[in-house]
Amino acid sequence: MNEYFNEKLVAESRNGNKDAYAQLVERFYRQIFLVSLGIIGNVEDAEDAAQEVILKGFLEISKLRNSSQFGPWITRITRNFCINIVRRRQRSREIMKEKVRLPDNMPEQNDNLQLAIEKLPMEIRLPLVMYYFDGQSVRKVAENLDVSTSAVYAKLREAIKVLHRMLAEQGETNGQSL
Amino acid sequence: MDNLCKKIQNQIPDYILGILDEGQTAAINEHISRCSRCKKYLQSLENENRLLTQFGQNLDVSIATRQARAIATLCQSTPILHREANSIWRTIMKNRITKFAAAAVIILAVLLSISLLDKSVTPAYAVQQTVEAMKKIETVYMEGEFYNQGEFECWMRYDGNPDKPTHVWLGRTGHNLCKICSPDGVFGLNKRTNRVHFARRDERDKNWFIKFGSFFEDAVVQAQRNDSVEIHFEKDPETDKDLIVVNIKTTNREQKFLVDSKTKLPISFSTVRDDNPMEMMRKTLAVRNLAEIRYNEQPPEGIFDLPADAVIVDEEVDCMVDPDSGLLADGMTREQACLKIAKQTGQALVEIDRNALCKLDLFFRLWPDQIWEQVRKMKDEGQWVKEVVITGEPYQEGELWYVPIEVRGQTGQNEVQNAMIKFYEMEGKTYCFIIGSKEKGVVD
Repeated sequence: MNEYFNEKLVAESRNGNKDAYAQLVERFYRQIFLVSLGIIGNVEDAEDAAQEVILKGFLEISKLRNSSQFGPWITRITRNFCINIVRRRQRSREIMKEKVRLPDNMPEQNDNLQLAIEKLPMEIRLPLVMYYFDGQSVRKVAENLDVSTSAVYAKLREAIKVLHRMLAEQGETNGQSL
Repeated sequence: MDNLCKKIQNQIPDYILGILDEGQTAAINEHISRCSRCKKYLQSLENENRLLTQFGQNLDVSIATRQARAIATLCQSTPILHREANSIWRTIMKNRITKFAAAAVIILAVLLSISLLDKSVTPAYAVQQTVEAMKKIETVYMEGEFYNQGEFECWMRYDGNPDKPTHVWLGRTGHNLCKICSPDGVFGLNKRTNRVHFARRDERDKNWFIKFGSFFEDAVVQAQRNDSVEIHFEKDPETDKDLIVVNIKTTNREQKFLVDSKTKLPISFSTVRDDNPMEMMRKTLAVRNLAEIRYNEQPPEGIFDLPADAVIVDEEVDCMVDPDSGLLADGMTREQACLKIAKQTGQALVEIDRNALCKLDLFFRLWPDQIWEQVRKMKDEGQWVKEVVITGEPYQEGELWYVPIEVRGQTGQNEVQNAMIKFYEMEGKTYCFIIGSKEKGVVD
């Protein structure tokens, strides 16, 4: 039933109906935001990126051929858009010099965790973010990223290890590592 | 730490994720009951697992607010100026390494499909012969034309592994920039200035790198469901060489391949008819023609090496500049030069003065002919830029300068930007270039 409504909303959005598109955004915002966060690593920048993706999606929705594929389509746009942001950021010396921004409303004890998440390589950060911030379902992450569950497990395993090493270095936890 | 501890600690992430079977779980439980070190490691990871879960929950609380902000912004939004040109531009403006790689992939896919067709000419010929022939290739040289990017030259060198060329050199004809990949790294070179942007990373394990054998197998599969293929023999009047001419006719286009009947290797490729060129233009670098393909020649000396007098630059964009272009900024203050280049570029944008735009603003250098045709059409239809207004004083951030401008469209849509300007010392003179904008970043 959800898919049926999604298709209807896509059809109306194609005709320029912004209200219909806003309803689609409500259904997919979480997914867009989490992918943005997974790739960019910073909560505030991820929100900005999600915003841009949503506007871009509205401008380009006429190019979406299969109206039942809005979810994968907007996820793809999000990924490409955010990867470009990360690339640009890496190349811009000025931005490189910027201090890493901390999220506004997070408890103090999460600062080190947030910083460590930001520093994770993008390839393993994305599945980690999607797993922990969206119900801890590996199958769901695999479906959303269009990869196998074993690939998700492998990346999660790696992310957990790397994150632990980073946090141990920062003194967040005291565990011995390999 | 002994080997058992290493093994256990390796499994602890899976333990946290709950994907171990009963036996493995019991083994870990048993081990940590008598090993304080591994127990501590497990406790750390469990603690981090809790922190991550908690962090996720905190984020979850704020997501509704973020969503509401997004929808409010969507409702207030207005269409963006020149979005069609931008979307094509973005396609073109992908990372150059990826573009060159894509080109090589497309080229090789073409080569392979030609070899396959040879199978129909001589019944004794087997697909495997082409695989073997390709394996023996030491170098390939190609001259051709992309749908989007114009004419190009390419050298590739192999070392016995058809899945992994050791070196790739790719340059666009008439352009100073070329790209070189080698086991030592990947670099962009400006032949005019010998400025080099170098990255010491081996691109050969990246997805874009050519997997020769796999492409061949893919091409076999495609050929089995191919469209009409017509094959005949010809003798090249100039070289007296026996050629196999292969015409492939599909719904939208007709392509012609010339194959050397002795070596079984393709020596040229051309698009004879194309009823839907836009389909190919949508691809980043699709090949229209390969006028010449040569094998096993020695590439020019040092073509894959860093020039001895190379000037290593920090950013890829720093490779693109040369003293034949840009704005000569001698005798001016930085502010004056910034205003002058912004003004000249703005005027050139309104008039669609391609030469001036390419000279002053690196953004426009990679626009293919089709984009220029499109924007001229937009101008004719009254949808282009009406004026570019400088809205503020130039200002400096680090080594970059910015000029606030407003691009005003003929249809009433405006776009505010901060043109990004960089100064370069070359051959004893100072030049400046627009290298991007604050909003869209550096041209890449």
